[in-house]
Amino acid sequence: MRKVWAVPFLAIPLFMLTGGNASPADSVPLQIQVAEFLSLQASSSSMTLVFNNFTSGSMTNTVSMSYDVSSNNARQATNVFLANLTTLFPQIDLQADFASYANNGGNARLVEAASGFVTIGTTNTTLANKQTISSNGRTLIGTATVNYRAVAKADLEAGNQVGYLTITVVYS
Amino acid sequence: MTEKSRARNNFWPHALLFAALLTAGLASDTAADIATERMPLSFEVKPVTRMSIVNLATGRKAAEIGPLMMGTGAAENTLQITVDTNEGRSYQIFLETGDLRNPEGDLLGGDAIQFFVSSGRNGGESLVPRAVPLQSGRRAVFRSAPSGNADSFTVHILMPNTRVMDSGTYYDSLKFSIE
Repeated sequence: MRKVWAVPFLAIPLFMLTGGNASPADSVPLQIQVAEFLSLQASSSSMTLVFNNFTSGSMTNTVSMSYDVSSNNARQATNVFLANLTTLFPQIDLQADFASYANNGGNARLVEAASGFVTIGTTNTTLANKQTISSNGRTLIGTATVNYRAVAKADLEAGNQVGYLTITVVYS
Repeated sequence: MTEKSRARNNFWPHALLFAALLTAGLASDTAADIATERMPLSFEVKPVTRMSIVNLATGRKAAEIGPLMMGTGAAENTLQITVDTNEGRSYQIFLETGDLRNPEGDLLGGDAIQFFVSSGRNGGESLVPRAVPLQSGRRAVFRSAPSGNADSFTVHILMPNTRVMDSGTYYDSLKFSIE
């Protein structure tokens, strides 16, 4: 004998619709990307050193050059501020002295690698290293001052000699 | 009563009885096999409060700023927060943040990142109407209208980009909760 049931099945899906889970809290990932920047700017595009005497051992005047240095990713600590000549001058030694560094808000500074003047050759000579002031020391913002002079290694003929001095700042 | 009207009065009861018997016969083997059960039916509408968050620029649930370049001006992300509720009681939205750090553990702190919150479209009140540094911790940022109705507002994440920041990618999360 077949039985027929009259049950309100439609009520079941209606019940399911009324439920729901509360979401009282939710999180959003936050990501900030800061791009790397490096900058080195010399105070002058050229420099002239003058020999007032031509004999061996004579010395030129001293010329100061300043370099604005900035980086937000200065990771290298040693051999940071380098100098080299493209070619050597005949019978002349170019000398440089890392004189000072003025920090303009970075958390690291440049300090001279060796006191006094050092002779610049065709390979990189380290003039300064990096020293951390606070935190991670990766921000280098300041002005370095380098004094230059030249010494005659022999008697010099009158005339002009031109070469190229390259300053390199190694950040990382 | 005329013969005609008497005949009409006798017709309808017989016709209805015949129709009922015919219907029962078609629907089931016999009229005695039909059983009906009446059940009580009720609905329960649960109290629900939901919150959804979307970045208005990307459509994603994430705040991403950068890469920031020095000297290129400020950057901003806007998150829209929508609260749906049927509870009918006032609520507050709290924002909890940690520290913004890169994978090496370096902190991007201070006032490098700021935020403010708009008023709600349905009468809610911003508790951070002006930009302030986004510092780690928990603070109330939005209060609903007293009626506690659904509302929508925006949270503006700002990078003034006026100071030098170490390069890299910094991560944190913005946790919004309703109380």
